[in-house]
Amino acid sequence: MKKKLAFLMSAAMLMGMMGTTAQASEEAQDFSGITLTLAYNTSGDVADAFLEQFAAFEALTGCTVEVEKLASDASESDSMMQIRAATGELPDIWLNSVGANLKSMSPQENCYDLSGQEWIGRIADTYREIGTDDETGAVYVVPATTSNVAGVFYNKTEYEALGLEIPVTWDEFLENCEIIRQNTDKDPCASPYDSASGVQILFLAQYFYVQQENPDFAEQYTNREVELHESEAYMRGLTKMYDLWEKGYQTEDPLSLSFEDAALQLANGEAVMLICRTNVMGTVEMLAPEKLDEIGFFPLPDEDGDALGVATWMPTGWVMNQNIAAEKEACALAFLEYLTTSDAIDVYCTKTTPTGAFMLKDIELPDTVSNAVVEAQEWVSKASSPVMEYFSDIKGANIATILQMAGTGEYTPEEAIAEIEQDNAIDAQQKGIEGW
Amino acid sequence: MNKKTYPIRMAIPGLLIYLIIFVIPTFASFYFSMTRWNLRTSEFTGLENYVTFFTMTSTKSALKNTAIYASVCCLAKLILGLLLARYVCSGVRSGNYLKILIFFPTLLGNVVTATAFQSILEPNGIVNQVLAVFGIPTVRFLTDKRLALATCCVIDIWQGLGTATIIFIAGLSAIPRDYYEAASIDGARDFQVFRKITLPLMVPSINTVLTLSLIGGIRTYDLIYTLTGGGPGYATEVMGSVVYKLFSRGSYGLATTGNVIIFVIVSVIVFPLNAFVSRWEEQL
Repeated sequence: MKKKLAFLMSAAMLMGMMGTTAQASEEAQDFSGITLTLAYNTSGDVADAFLEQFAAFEALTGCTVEVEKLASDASESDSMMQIRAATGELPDIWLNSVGANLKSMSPQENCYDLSGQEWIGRIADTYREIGTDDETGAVYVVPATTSNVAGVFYNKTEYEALGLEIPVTWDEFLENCEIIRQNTDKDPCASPYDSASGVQILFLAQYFYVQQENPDFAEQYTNREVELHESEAYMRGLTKMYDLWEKGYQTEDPLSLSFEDAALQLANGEAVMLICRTNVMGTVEMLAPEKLDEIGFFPLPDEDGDALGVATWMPTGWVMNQNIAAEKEACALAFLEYLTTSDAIDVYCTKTTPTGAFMLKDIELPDTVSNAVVEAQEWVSKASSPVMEYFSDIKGANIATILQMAGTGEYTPEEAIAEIEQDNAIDAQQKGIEGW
Repeated sequence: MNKKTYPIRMAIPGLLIYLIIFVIPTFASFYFSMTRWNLRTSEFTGLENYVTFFTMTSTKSALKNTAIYASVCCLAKLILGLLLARYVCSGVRSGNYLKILIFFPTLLGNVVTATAFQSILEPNGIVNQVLAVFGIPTVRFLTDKRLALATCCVIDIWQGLGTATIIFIAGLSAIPRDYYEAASIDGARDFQVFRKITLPLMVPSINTVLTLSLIGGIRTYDLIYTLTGGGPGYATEVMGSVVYKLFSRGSYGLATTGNVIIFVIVSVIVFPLNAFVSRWEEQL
């Protein structure tokens, strides 16, 4: 089942990339005097792209879009939305993670069912599936951004200068790091651990290999039939972080390195590699656009060079308030419909170059998409799996802290996994998941 | 004397407001701290949450860090505040200007202060640039686990000192000059004046500063969380940040447990302390 889902997701991402015909937008309606309230947690160029889309919709229909910025940490802003749902303070439309996180919004009470809309078919099938209520068939989400693929981004110029080969196993990866350490004053692998998201990427990306080892791992873990430390592949995620620290291949002070600085270091060649997601290319485009082509992509290596693959993240999506004021309903629906059109995507692309698939049918990506993103998307079609959080809701409150400690040598992988298991158990108990 | 000056019904509006915004939420949170709660439904779990809360790795660090943070900041504000207030009130010419200068940091929001210090103290920040001029290697004020908590304390003291000083200045100004004149006629030495006149009459101010800064220290959250997020590791984890992290992961029941524990800690420490200082005041 999971493999099938993973395959479908990959296929849809690829189709999203390769679609050909553009969709014409509907005849614009007049919504003068109506104000839509909208909340999202995105920043940077993608937020600029959103604002551009909102402005275009305002110009098209005469309505006003009132924007509210949420905390940039995803779990924090998701939680904020849950609290507001419970107190009846939801905006008209908001940005929500999909998968398990959508379920905790109690969508049957809070989210507008979009399944009856004629334009809903424009959303890529697999994305629509994730945003669909299994019981009622209601569809809740319209994709807002592009998918994300995790792997190793490397500076091609530095790789050529040192005569390095693309590593296909973790050992080869470490050998490359050693060569870089010995022969240059550059950091082999930048490690932006200052943020909760930056420190988790390597660890979460390892999930591709975890589900290769055991396709039902997430389900079995949720049902408490298997412990995290029992999966060798899962443990290797922690070992990799520990390796980078122990062998001194990462940034000297990882806890002070921001994602933006790491992206810039990669672009400038101060760091030769960076384990992150394709959205880094958006950051590079903003900070050092002339260096875009110098950056390449390869999957996070593991034990078997013949079984490489990548982990993917689904784009966050726009969700509409079920209890929206009656006079705003038509406007909000028109807004979501607009966001599925090629016009809206064109507007989006004026502010940022997409770093993944839009998860909309028949949407053509601009030629400006960077090479690394294209390479990453090729891996998506070859071998990929969405990360574990789409299949299991269990995630402790201190995961980022524990990983920061594993990535700076405070915890060995064994100590870290014990902490993670304890932290996750508390989360599962608090969520009332059966068996915990 | 007629004790019933006003009929009891005059107090009803006030009591109602107190009941609604204080008593009910307090008891509700006692209840929810013993439940598994997702904001819509709650399931009573007894004392399970309390056991869980104290077994968490982050709580153990948080209890220690909160104790250090609250006591260090409180003592420093007390001592430095009293010294500064004495200096400002000693008739120095720049007294009024100093008052503004000392009070200014208090006007800044905690998040603003934290963000500003973050950029000042980062590895390439201005402080490290200055240190580099003297050949001192980069100091990781906020990401070195040995320094992070101390750095947070210093910033908190810098910011909170203004309030303490202003309270002390008010206390000092309220002491009638006559006492000092009488003491000087009697030939009292400086230390005697301080010990026998200033200090006893300052006890109410000291009590205020002590209570406020101790409660503030125990409940602290926004300054530290913005500065370090509780890191590196659990090095600056405080009770407030533990609760916040639980809330943001949606563990509302357990987070409420943490809040109740903070409430209990504050009550257990502050009320007896207050009573003690008041008794001391009577003795002096």
